[in-house]
Amino acid sequence: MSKLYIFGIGGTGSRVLKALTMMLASGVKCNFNTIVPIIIDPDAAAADVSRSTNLMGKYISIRNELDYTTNHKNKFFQTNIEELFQNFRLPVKNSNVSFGQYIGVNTMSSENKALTNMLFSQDNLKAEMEVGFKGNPNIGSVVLNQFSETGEFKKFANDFCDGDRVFIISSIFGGTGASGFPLLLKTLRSDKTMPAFALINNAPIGAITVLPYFKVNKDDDSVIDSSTFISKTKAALSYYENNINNLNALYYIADEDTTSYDNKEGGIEQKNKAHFVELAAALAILDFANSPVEQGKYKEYGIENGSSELCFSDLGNLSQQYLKKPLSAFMLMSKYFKENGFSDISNNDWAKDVGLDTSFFSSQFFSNLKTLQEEFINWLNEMDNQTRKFTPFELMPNSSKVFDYVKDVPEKSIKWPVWKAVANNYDLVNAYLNHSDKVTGSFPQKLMDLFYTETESLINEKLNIN
Amino acid sequence: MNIKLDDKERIHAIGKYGVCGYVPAVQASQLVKCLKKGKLTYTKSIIYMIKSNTCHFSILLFSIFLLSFCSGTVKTDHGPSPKFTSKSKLVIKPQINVFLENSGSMFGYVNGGTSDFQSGIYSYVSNIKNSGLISSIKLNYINSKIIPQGNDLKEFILNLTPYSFKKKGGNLASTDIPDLFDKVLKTTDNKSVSILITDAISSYSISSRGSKALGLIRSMMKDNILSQKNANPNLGIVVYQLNSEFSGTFYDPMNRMRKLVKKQRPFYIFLIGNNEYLKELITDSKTDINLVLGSKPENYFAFGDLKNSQSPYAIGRTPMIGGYDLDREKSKTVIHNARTRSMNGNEIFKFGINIDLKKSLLDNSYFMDKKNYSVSNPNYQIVQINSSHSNNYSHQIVMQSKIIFSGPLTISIKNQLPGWINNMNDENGNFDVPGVLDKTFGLKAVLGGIMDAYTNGNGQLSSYTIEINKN
Amino acid sequence: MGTFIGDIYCWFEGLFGSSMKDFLWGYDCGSQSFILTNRYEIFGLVAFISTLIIMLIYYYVISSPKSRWWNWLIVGLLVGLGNLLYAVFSCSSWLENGTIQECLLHDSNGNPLIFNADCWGVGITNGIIAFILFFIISMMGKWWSKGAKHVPFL
Repeated sequence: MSKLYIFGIGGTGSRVLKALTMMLASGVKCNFNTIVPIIIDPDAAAADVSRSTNLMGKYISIRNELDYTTNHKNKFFQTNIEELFQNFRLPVKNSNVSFGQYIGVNTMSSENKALTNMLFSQDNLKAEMEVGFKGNPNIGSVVLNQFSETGEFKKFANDFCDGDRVFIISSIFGGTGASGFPLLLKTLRSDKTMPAFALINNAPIGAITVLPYFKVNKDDDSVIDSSTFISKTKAALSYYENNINNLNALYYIADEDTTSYDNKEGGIEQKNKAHFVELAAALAILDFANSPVEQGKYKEYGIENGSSELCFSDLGNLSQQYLKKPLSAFMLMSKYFKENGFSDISNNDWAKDVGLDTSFFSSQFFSNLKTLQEEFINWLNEMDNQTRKFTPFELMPNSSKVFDYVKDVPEKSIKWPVWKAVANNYDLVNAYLNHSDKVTGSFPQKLMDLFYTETESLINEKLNIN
Repeated sequence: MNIKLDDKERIHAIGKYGVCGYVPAVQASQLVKCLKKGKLTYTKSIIYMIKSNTCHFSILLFSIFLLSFCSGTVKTDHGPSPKFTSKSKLVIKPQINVFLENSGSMFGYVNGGTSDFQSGIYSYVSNIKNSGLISSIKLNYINSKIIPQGNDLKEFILNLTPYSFKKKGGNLASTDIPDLFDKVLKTTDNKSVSILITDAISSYSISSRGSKALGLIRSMMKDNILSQKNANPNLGIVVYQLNSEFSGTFYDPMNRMRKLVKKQRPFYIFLIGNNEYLKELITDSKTDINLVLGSKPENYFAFGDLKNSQSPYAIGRTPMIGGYDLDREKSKTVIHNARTRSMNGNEIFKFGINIDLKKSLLDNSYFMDKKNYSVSNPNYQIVQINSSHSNNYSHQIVMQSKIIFSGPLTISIKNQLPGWINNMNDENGNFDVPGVLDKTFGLKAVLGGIMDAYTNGNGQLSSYTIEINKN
Repeated sequence: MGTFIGDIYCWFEGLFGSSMKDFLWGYDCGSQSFILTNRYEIFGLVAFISTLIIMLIYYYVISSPKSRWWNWLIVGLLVGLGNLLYAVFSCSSWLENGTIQECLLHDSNGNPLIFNADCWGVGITNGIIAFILFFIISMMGKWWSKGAKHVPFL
């Protein structure tokens, strides 16, 4: 079974991985049944990274209880996510010292010291790297050069098989991503010391480079200044032009309509809200995974309508095909558990029929599922609070208008059979669940099969989404 | 309208004004088929509107047409009216054979001028003759043989003298009552009724002496009647006991003599024939002996049994006190969930059994007497007997008990000789004993023998069995 | 079968009296036997069919997860009421059009044995029996219902 190794570099890499995880949770199609996220971020405490790794960890614990053989219809969490390294992270050594200490300025000869002072500013040399390279790719490109020597990287190389592919996510305007991406690519394509180097050197590799899509608020205490984002982009692009030419596919994405975030240099406070661009970037991964291997392809992302409040109909057909049905189904399931204020879910006939009692609904599995779904809704909420909103769903709970939740999709009324006609809102969902075909397997499996098939039926019959 | 099938398979219709006529049964059913096919809608149209030639238009139809008008008042605008003769329920009118015993013991009744005997006989027989209920009448003397006397009643009565008796012949010296009956029975068939007038005294000389003789008389009576009854199960016998002046020689069983002058002595009139004929002759006002004679008979008794088919019965649909449910299959004779009701501190269960005794020849007083009934379970008592006016039943027996006993309960009407027979009976023939001259020697043997033939030992006229269940 | 049905109705005979009871069994005055129509069978059949149909509609056509014991109860009471009225109207029309024979209507003294109130008694009996039948049929038939098998209780 072929694997897709996804290197997510820096904050953007983690956020795109998060979007990808959400999409895979809702059952978006991926031709690779296993992805291996590898996060490269020297910022040990980066909040975005930990949000993503936590999410992926939950995804894995949920998926571990599920089975995807043909007699089970569930496609939520279909794709396997493999945690190759602890917390998915490729470690960056010595990132808790200053750059000057890292390169050993003080132990250099005076000639070298002079050269160093020419190349790097005093600020650069004094920069603490705990939280990454703070938008300085010149530092990053030095420090990150060591990852191929790590045991983890060798483990990755050992794991690589024929048929596997690699995808690299990075931002072009940051510090880690801009420097890490070319370094990583160079290693993959030319390193001959790593195990299976022949395979990897010739493996299909795709990448997305994310151009600026947000600003930060001006803050004198911070070295990060979003007015430099464009100039840094230009600098990096000119480098890529000459040095990045052995990718199978390179994807670009950017957004002019930008939100201003709080200016946080890193650590647990650099918690950027989710953005549609990250979701679209994740679509690039799927595009790469689901397409045949090509050579030297360059792709950009576009939407159908340049609205600043994007619904599904504002996206192109391909995006809608990928996203509309799975996200709507998963959203319906999430809404059901969040909004349908049961006193006791196990009292429903559908639950009793398959044997889901109160102990199941207080189990770890269900708790993980519910938490993931809440994060899913939060993630959608964050994307709804950007300048360029991605707002396909009505997120305010409204249990008397349940099937109005997909914006720009009207609710259809069902006339037959009678039991479908007389029920509406969550009663209708319950009715569908009650009338579902028999499900088998473990309790988690039964729950997912039940909800997958019935949310699929519901959005098909009620909303014409198929 | 009374419709019957006779033995020639003809349907007789008898309406209020008499017999309308008859129609062969086969052709009548053909007519019914036509009616069912809807080819004939109305009796009037029978005459006028026959179209199909599968329905034969014949005298038959005319008769049916006539039949339909026999049931009610005659509608004079509907064609010819039927010829009415007289009111009669009898299909065939019987012939009456009168047998007057002319042995020596009977001389005293006809001696010297007209007596009650003569006027009574004359009155009775002439009423019967003129009642329209009979076809013809034949008069006879009888002793050891039957001596026909034609059918002129007046002459017959005028000739009721000892001289005529002697002249007519036969063995006048002794009387064998069983033999007398035998002869009379043999001439009685299901189209005739015999009237036997006798003093019912047997002579000893025909049989061995002693009380054994009476036993023999009794069993000979039983035999003679039983053999006739087997041939004609419908045979009934009634007896009237009358008194008349007797002046002449009175013989005891051993033919010792005593002269009596104007002594009131009993004599008997027996009617023998089919039960239906007897019933009519007894009850019809033209022939009811109680209405016809100047002085009524002293006593009466009727012999016969009532099979359950002749005496239908049913438990009352609802009880009088307490409760029960009728059995669904046997709703006339079986009850379930019988329960008492508490009244004044006592538990009471009271209900009625309706029985139909109209076919019996016995008179009403017999049936109204509780002593003539026996109940199989003494815990149930007959508290009352009512005459009923319903069409189906003549009497209602009211039963009562304190507790419900599950099981069968049989109410029987006893068939026993009434008290008067004992009173009128003499066993010795010793006319020195006071009162013997008012009695009839061997009466009980004679009537007892008849009774034996009818009860065949079990002493019951009829019995009615119901089943009471507590659940 | 008819006897069994009739016996059940007769548990309530206190409501309608023994003469009405005999009439419904099919008592014929002429032959003094029970040869006429057993009307209990008709009531029983109508009750059975009506409760069966309503049960099927409630559990299989509407099959609503919103079903609760009290709306089931309302449906049951309506079924009972329908059967009650049917019996009352049947009985009353029998009384009026002379279907009931004289020996059941009056006793030998002319006192009435059957009253209008007896028709209501028959109606109430029929209604109760229909309701109980609805309960039994519901309990037997609800298990395959997708939406409503929890009603009236699981």
